[in-house]
Amino acid sequence: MNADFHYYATYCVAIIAGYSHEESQDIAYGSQFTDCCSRTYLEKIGGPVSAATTQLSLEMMEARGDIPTLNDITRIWASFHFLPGDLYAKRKWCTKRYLNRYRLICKPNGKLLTDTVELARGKGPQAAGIAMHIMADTWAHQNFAGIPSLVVNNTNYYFYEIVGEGEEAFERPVRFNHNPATKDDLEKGNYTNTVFQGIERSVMNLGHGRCGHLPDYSFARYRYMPAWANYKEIIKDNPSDYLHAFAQMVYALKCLRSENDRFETDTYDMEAIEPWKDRIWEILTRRQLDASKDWKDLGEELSGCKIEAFDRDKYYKEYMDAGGDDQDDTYLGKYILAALAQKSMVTNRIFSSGNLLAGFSIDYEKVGLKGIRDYYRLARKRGEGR
Amino acid sequence: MTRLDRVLNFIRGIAQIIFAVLIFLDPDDGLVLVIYIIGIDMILRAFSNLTYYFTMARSMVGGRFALYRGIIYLDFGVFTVLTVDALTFYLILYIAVLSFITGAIAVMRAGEAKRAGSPQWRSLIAYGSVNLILVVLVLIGGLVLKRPFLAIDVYACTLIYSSILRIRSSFKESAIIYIK
Repeated sequence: MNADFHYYATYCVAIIAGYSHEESQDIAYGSQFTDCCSRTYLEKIGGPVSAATTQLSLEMMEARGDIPTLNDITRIWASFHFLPGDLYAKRKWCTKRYLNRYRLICKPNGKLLTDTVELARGKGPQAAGIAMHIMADTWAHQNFAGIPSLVVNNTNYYFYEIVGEGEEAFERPVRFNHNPATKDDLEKGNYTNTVFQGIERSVMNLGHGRCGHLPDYSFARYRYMPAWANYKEIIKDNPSDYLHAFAQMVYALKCLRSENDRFETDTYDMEAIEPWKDRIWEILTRRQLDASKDWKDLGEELSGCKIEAFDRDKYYKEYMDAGGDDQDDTYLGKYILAALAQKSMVTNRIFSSGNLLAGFSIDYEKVGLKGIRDYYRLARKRGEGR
Repeated sequence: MTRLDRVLNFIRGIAQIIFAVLIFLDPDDGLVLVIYIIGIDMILRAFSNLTYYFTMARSMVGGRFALYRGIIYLDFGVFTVLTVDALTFYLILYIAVLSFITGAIAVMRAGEAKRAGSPQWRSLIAYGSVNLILVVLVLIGGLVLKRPFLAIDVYACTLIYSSILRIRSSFKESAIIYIK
């Protein structure tokens, strides 16, 4: 998903869920910032680099192929963009090495999604924003994994786009090129994807790179054969998936407001979005590279307020002006803590399932302060809470 | 990383340093040694690819590439080991290309870091520039002045740098605290 959904549509979701304009903007900012909080940005603000929620393309190109680097990549992408659907998934006739990768495939409505939403409870709009980003991505990025893996994420020439709806619908083969400077051509069906790299752990094989930005476009419908599916075809219907994401996000944000409602998977607040369903569907199905304007118009109609354009550095000054421990009480400080908590939780769940692809997780209750120092902030914060 | 991974990583780092010092001290034999190592490395990669094909990639879309790559690596590896004397030219090119890719990525990263306001761009540009200067020296030394030993020295320096990173990562804390 792109900024149009992660920022403007998330704003609409928050308004429908009953949040104020200011709260909705903060939640939407937290959601979109998840695509901006890179190691490079954290170095700029002097923040803990372990809180990175994304990687710049050149950061990935520079990455070494050793185990700690691969663990780091997996922690970032599996925690924030490709939340694993079933860490205990079964599959016959495969090695443990393969199974560990297979279990990181992103799916909506996994147990980790409940953990993600519940982790955000009571932690402010930053954590809610992160949870909304992750939830939305479980729909868009499903069937790919947040780990560089050829055997999971590869696709091939068998790739068809379904254009139009109903009787007017037709299919055409998708033509991919590998030039990142080229814009996707929706009319001709030319899209950019990563180049085929036969090396299992190449970053070219991370996430949905091999099928380009198609999962990020709400209008896209396509069928293809994922590498992991034993030559079985998958039909991906983004408009329907995005609508489910929208309704599930409304439900989740309502849960976060309530003290009693525990988030449950596979629940969608279709009733709440009913008055705007046709309008939302129209935006979702319109063939355009960026739907920001449509979502912005809808959001402003819903709240009657003007939505600010997304500015990555909106809270930069507040963070830099706050000294020492006070930084933890700023917007960015709380965002960083929420990101560290999310990454720590997902790493723990993956590790506990017997899968070492995201690295080791150690229990604070049992061993105290050990491991990567950036995470000590979480313990410090917990101490304050007592 | 598991404890075994750390130990193996450390041993590989030390072995790389010893190997780099050896080729520094005796560049004549070092040249031959480097070509042997590259050849053996290709053969090992071939077996790794074939194992990968049979254990993971066999039922995957496009998985047969792993099989073809394994066979090609095996072919090149055996060819390299059997024709050591004729390969000096290719060795120089290989080392130059490796340094060029490393340098170019570092320079691009420096631009990206500078745009994002990260202070790290200075060290990146320095690292990238050194690599690109080495490419020029290797090519001039090897192809114009007919002195391939410079390429060997560059290769040894690269090995030492990579072994330092490897050893450092063996001791680095990598676990993550989880607080319920």
